[in-house]
Amino acid sequence: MKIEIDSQWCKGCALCVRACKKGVLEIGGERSRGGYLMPFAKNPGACIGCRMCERSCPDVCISVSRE
Amino acid sequence: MNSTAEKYIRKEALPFIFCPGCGHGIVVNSFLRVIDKLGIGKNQMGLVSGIGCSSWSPVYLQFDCLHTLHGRALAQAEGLKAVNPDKTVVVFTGDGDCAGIGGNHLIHAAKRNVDITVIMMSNYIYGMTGGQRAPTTPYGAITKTSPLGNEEHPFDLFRLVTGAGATYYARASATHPIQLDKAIEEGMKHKGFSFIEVLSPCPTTAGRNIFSFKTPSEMYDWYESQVAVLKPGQTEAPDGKIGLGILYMNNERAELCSVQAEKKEVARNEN
Repeated sequence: MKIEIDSQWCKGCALCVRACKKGVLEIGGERSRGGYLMPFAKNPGACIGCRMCERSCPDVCISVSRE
Repeated sequence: MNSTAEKYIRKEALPFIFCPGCGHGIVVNSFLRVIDKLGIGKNQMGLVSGIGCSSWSPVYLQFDCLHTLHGRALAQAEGLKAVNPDKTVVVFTGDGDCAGIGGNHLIHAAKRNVDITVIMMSNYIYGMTGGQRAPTTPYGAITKTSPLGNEEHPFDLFRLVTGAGATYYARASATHPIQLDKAIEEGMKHKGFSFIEVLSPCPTTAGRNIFSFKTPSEMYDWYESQVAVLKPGQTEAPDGKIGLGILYMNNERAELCSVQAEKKEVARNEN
């Protein structure tokens, strides 16, 4: 699965990290345009494509798609 | 940005006004998935909102939008529906806007059973103005205007709205996006006054000041521990938790706009 996080609108709330039961996402060191620390797909191989991160994102900036 | 949002979001208006971790964004996200699924066109829907954080939601969408006076969203929505009975009308409102300042409009819209869908995002507080007590604030909760604990009991909106005559009542939570999708979808399909109460955590005003949670995730975990998803037919959650699901649906009661259309037809034939 391919997880894209829009660095333009992400506010670094980490709700996607909380929503992922497989521990795919983690807050990294990169900052979004607003200056918030952004999550990244640390372990993309574990993703099962449930899209809970996409649904839980209050800024609609996560997109999960099949590669 | 996800592919559904890509189709409906007004990009020039972004970013959302919401604070990091606000539940209102999750409701917008869910609403977009539902309208995409139901296939409602951009010219077939009118969105109405009042004042408050939650009422900013329709401003970011590529639909016609009425951003009106504080508390008067329902009154405007009724008018919009009366002149455009073929359009879908959805109201985005907050708990203070809907149950507090627009309380009388709420009971009268429910009494008339107008075919509108109301998405009330309840964060238990007046979030935009700095955390004053709202009519839904729990008993004993400490807010900026009740520093020794709220001495008033909150509204029982389920009994208030269904007692006034609403024909659909669902409760959902931003912590449960799949159930939230279902509540909104069924509400939009239902003909009559559909009321969807969404528990939407406010990590900034309520979370930091009242509950003293450090992160939005902590607050969402707490919300998740307070709610229970109801099985079909159940209306009360066990262990004093807040039940999520479709609590009430009635297809018997006549809808205002269809009755008015019939009366118009009768009057036309008489002349």
